[in-house]
Amino acid sequence: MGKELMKMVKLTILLYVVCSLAYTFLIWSIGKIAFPFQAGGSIIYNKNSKPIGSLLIGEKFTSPYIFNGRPSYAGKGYDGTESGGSNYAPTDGKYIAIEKNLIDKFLRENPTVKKGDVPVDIVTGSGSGLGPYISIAAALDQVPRISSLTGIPKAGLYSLVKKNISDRQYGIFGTPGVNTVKLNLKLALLFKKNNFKLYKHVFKGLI
Amino acid sequence: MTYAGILQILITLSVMVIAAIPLSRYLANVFRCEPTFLDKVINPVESLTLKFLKVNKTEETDWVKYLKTGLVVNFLMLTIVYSILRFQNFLPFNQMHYPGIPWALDFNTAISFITNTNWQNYGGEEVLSNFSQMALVFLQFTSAATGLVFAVAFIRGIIRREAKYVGNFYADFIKAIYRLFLPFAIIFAVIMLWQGSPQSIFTMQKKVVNMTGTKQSLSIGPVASMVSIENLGTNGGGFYDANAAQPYEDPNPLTNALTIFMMGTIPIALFLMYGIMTGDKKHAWTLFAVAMTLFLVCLTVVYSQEAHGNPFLARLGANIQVSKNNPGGNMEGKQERIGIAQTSLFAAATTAFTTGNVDSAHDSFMPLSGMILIAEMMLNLIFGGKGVGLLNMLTMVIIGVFIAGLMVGRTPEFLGKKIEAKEVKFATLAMFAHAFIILIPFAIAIAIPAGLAGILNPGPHGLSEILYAYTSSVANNGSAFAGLNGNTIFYNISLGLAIFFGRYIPIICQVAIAGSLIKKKSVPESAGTFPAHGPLFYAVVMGTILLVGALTFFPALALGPVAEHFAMIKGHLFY
Repeated sequence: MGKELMKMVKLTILLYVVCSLAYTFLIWSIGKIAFPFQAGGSIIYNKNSKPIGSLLIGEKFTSPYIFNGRPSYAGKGYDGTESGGSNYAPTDGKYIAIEKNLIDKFLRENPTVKKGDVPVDIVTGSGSGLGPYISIAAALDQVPRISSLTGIPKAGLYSLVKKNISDRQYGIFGTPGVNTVKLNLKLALLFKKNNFKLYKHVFKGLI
Repeated sequence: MTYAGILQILITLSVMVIAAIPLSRYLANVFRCEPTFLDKVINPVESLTLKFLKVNKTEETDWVKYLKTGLVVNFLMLTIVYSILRFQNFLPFNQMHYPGIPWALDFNTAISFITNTNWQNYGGEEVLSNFSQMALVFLQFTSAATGLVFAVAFIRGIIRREAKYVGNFYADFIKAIYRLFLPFAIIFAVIMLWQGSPQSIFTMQKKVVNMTGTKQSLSIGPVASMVSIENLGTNGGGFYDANAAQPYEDPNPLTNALTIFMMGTIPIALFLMYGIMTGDKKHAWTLFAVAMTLFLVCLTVVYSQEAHGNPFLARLGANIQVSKNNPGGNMEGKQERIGIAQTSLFAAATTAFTTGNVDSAHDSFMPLSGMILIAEMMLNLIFGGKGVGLLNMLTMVIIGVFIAGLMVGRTPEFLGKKIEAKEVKFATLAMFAHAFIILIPFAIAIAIPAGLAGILNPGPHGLSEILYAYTSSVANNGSAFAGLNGNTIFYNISLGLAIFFGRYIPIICQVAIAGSLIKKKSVPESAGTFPAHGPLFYAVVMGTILLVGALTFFPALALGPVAEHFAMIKGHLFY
């Protein structure tokens, strides 16, 4: 029995070293060498080389001047250290009350959108509360508001949205959408050109 | 439902089945010790390992010793990981200085990972150091290998005649890891890295200041390496609290499809490998057809329900109709870019293949989709987890063949072996153990305050949350209706025990069946032999599954999701 147990202990320790340590460090070194950007979390930087976020992770875009994201239940909203969805059931009365507020708020902020036309994704939380994408409709619906608040012509904003659509991958996988992180970074360039004072006020992290 | 959605589902599934065919041949060769293309690289490493362990791979053992070795090894691995988590504050790669994991949560977590369940009563990025996450990865490899080698032992029990020995546990176990899980995990981890999953060991959080001036911290760690094995091993325990709903674990629609591919291809290949090893491919393809039919029916319900969306939101003014620019449907808890079709496929797959990884909040699914997800885990044989799904399917086959035999008044036979009282007793015990370990703790939990305290959503959905928890635990799935707060002493212990018994009782029964079958001599086929393939056999197996499954579990489902569905149609909300 002692000999047999020795074999089992050796197997356990050996596999721990191989599957936990060696394997993780192997992938880590491949990341360091071949994919340093992705391995570090796809972090993007401003012109002063300060990190401003990740291309894959949504941010708290609540200012009316920019494209807003979906509601977030990650911590206090878009907390990258506490991923999580609302977990509300479709028949939960409390949830429906929250939804009523969200839908009414969206209609109030975007008066050009008619009741019954609010894109469902812009008033519901993503599974992790960190998804950066909104639907094309949700982005287009925000254009009149941004235009009237900033004075940037609507046509320019519409074409900005259209240029930043992520289509189905390889024409097949997923649903078309717009990455709010990329979209708002491009929006910042328009601000810079059209309204520098507002640019400095809204995009504090880029200066 | 849209054409684009259906197309991407069909493409993903077809690629899985096509890839499973060569993989099944490869696996059959591995476990029959026939040459494979990886021999040149792996043979030297493998023999070195066996030499180090002082194991002679030709020395086979009977089923009792095979099982005992497996269980003791499992226990040793559990102890290591329990200790690492408990004392992670004294161990490296803990840059956030997280404290050790409290005993009840640690007990639940360690049991959950050694049994391939990966139920998580914690949020990975909020409590675990990178070193602890890496320790869980170790169990993700070994628990998958454990299920696989027990299935291989079972198959040997069927094919060997008048024999005693089922194999050498050490040799099989090392083969499963060196020749299947490790090489594939490396390949897919690199693909996930390339697509955007982070991989850091010395950093746990990055602090950034967003373009709007808001401060944000981003949790990173050894994610890519975990994502690949958690899916390949049908483990499902992700790095993050939200698992694959966190974009770092599932950066884009392609990785979403790839994740489904990783979960499903090996379980499908195991069905086909079983056909190759027993020499009865038609039989295996018939079982494949049973599982695939069940899967497609489940998927259709989930997809149609999710695409239809929540009628309450439509009444408030949201547009739940799908159009060119608007995804529509039930978007609560779903990633916009992944979309309804891929998310539905992911959810149906993760419960069918008992992975338990989620790319969306299952708790927020429509009532009937939620019911399907629970039902898939209750059956636990729609391809199922590593090895275990095949074992459960064969258990049903034995019961089905026995019932069919009784009906025509012949001693039932299965692949040339007589099925007698002993096998049927063990098969029935495995089946009933599964049902009892789900339903009895569930009944207790809904009767006591400690159980009800964890509920998030009121009404029948709260019942579904608890039912989901026990079903997921016993089926060794690990996904959750995550609104339920499981991190209490009551749930940590009761779910931990459900996971433990739910895993080992059926496996012990099933390996015992193999031990009994292996001794039997083969009965020559005659005109009266019931063929183990074709439409009649399909109907017998399907009938058994539906009868047993439906009769056992329908009452519980009727009280939860079914009741919720009808209330929703009537426009009734719960407070």
